[in-house]
Amino acid sequence: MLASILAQVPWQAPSIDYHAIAPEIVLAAGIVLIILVDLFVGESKKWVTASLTGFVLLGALIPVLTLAVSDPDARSLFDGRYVIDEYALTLKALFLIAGYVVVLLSQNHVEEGDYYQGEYYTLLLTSLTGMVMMASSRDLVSIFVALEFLSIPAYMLAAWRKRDRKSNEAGVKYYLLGVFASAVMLYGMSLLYGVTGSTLLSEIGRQITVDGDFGGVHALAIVFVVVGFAFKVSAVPFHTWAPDTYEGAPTPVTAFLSVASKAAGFVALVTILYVGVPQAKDVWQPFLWVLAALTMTVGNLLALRQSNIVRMLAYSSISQGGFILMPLAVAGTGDAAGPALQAVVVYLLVYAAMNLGMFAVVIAAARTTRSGEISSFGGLFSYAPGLGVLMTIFLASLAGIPPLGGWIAKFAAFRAVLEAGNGWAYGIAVIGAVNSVIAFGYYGNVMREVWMKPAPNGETRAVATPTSLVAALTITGAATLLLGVLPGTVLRFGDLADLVGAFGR
Amino acid sequence: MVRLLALDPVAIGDLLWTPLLIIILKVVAIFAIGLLVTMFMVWFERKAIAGMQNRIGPNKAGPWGLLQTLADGIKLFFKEDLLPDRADRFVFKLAPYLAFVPAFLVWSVIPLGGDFSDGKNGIVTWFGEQTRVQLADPPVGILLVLALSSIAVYGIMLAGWSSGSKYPLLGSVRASAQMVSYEAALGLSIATVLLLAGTLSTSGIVANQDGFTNWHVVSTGVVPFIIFLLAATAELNRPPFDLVEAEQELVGGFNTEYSSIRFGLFFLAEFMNTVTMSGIIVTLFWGGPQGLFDIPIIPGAIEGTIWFIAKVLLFLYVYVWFRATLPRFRYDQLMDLGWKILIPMSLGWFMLMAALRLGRDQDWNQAVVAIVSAAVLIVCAGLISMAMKVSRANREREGATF
Amino acid sequence: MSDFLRSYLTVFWFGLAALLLASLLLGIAVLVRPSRPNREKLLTYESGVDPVGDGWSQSQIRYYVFALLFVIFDVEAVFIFPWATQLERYGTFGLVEMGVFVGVLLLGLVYAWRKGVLRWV
Repeated sequence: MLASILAQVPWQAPSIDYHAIAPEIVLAAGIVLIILVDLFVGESKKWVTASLTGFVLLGALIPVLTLAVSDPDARSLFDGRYVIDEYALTLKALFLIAGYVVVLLSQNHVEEGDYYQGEYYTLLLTSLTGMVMMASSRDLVSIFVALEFLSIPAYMLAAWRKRDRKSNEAGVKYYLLGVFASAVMLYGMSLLYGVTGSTLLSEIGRQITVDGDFGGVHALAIVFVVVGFAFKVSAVPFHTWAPDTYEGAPTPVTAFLSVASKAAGFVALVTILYVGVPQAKDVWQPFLWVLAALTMTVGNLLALRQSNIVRMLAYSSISQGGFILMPLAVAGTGDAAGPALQAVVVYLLVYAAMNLGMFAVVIAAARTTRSGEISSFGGLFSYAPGLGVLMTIFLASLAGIPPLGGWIAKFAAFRAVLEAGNGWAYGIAVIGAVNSVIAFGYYGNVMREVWMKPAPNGETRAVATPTSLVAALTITGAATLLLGVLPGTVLRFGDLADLVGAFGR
Repeated sequence: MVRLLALDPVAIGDLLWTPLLIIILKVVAIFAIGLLVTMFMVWFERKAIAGMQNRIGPNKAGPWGLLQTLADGIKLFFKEDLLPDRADRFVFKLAPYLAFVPAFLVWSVIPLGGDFSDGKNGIVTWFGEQTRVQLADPPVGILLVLALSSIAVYGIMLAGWSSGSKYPLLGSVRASAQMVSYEAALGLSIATVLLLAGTLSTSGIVANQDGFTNWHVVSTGVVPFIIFLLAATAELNRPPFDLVEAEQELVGGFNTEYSSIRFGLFFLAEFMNTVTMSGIIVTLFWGGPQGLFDIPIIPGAIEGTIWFIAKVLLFLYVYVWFRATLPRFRYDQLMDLGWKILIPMSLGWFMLMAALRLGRDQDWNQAVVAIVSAAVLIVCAGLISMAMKVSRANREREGATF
Repeated sequence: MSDFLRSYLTVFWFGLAALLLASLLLGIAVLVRPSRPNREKLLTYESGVDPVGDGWSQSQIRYYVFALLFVIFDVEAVFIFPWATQLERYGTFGLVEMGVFVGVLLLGLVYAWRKGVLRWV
């Protein structure tokens, strides 16, 4: 009976643009390859998996580049559920390069730490695949699948230091809050589907308008979805997992979570808000406004009190998240959203470079100091001048001092906010400015340790930095400097004013 | 009640008494057959094994001891029913139902006969009504069988767990692990049959097997049948896969704490499962009630049933034969067989059959398909043997003894 | 009730009948059997000695791992069955898709195998 029903529906193999999904295919093939290689190489040769992961990520970057230069500008698959446009490609490149840097950071750490190497890189790649998918997803279902794809490996990675209580705590906290957030978000998504009858974001965008039958259910659905992603990007008051998870997880994983995972959360948030429910901005913008203000302020104030560098960076990354939310909270819709979206993309790019760089310095320095306390960085400049200078650059960039990348990012964010030009915008701009000043407090504190304090215990052996870390430091340092000195490159990259148009409306 | 009856498939529209009568007749008949067959199966098993072991076997109750099972059953009624203090009372009482009802329900989807002469496709005419010799023919019959066999796992698991005793618990954990392990291989070998039949309904699967070369045992290339036979034996917890109730180590396995007729239900369910599983093997692979040739004199409507019974008897004998011949597996051997041989083999064979069949359908070059498939299979086999070699080397290095 | 569900109704009646039979058997037994429980009879069996400790003892973790693996393969069957019945419909595209799916699944099995999960110690 079922067969007869099925037989009446004509079925055709979907035509798939394989060039468009080549990055995902390369990554998927890479995951399989790495599992196989890991299974059949001896314990002493496990490092091969790290190199292979790097090659896979660079290999996946090639189709991203060819897609960027090829016609047409935007490719749309599966009836617009999966879109490859400039926005998606920029973010894909960001995720892949960030992933590559994380692999560089991980290499020695994972090898020396007696962790499971093959599985580590497999999970890292899987999570990155989810992020790359996230950049293109324009459908509630594919967004959710991509989100779980990127989250579930991350839960495991957070608990990678198996015999360490703090790492287990990190994994469990991240997992429990993560699945809770997923559940809340899924509830919101199902409500959205319920009121519009479609999972396609552009279709939802057509259906949800403020006038007419916009009711409590619509608002509830949107708020639930935003709350779900607020957990993901660790916005206050949904940030409680972040410091413990960041501290407990292995440091390269922390770098990965605080940069790539967070960026993916923002990407999904932007996609849903600006493609799915732009008409309902009166509902979500006040909500985002409060989130952004709280996130900046609370993150900063708590960062001031930290003595552990990783916890300090955790709170700093929370407050940076507030700056990313800031333009979204006041931007207009349609073409008026252009500067805000541009600011978000630019901020994500710059933030990835400087934060990864910061973690690279911490990892490199901690190889000698074996400590995460801020005081253990005392006198870093005296015995490791290179690291000291780089750390200063990254800290200054995080603080937003010109002419570094962080300044451009903050500049773009504030410009977008001021362009909105209403009372709310000025309000959040003032809060943001105050917070930028507060941030000098804790970034400056670390700088003071590095430059002015003597080394604790008189330990002044020169730091031997392995090649992979040097490479990571070079990439991130160069990016941070270049983005600051030549802002044109990144601003052009983020020149996606017609972004909303490319979403397929 | 009457409204529900009226919804029965044969009574669409008005409540017709003839079809209803047929249904009631079928239910009663299958009930009677089910119980009788199970009874004689127990006798048959004891008698056949006795023969193989040079003993006489049951010979007191009735002619040739035929009523031995009945006598045993009646005895069970008069036995005291013990419910251990430590037991979880509700689950302890629930478990026999969970084992018994699914065992019985499987009967409802097995085609027990039918008229396959002159393209009648198994439809017979009783009292002027056209019907199948099968209680019900749901469109996903074979899934129903799989679902019921999964429920049976609950019966065993809960029986062992609720006893609050160590032997039953161990027996039931063993049983569930074993049953779920082999269920995977069981399902995959069924999938190969579905490739050819193109339907999940049991009557459709039988209809697809007209003529000996179309019997699935032949047309799927024997391998799925062998896998199914092995997996089914393990699924039934019959020797040589009867670690679940290995008397020497576990006393009686999951039903150690059961007594009286409650134990009888488990016993009945177990033997009924043996019979129905034989019926399913026959349905899936041996053409069900389809015959090899016309038996003279006997009318077509009964002929199918005769063929079916003959085939089922054959498999029942095979099961008894297994029990008398083969020593019991060790648990690690059992798991190795299931996971390292049967599952990869059934998956590989499934994909090979799919490729071959699609190739025939779309006029691919048969030789190329065959060569490519063979190459893929060889590569897979090579990978697996490589994995085995490496893991054996690792085991030896770690100093394990086996 | 839809046509689709109707065919299960007979199965339902049959199941009810089986349930009734089982209850009947148990019911008859209640009438005819003796009931003279004492402490010894209600003890659980432990080779003739008084039971020691809790009946619900811990069992090996491996059973659980196998159950997990089974869940994966059972879910996979859910995808394979409908495809198998509609092989021609989905054609070469379907075959390749299924090949990828089964390949990934086998990779998982090889992984478990190589990691010694399938080894019963």
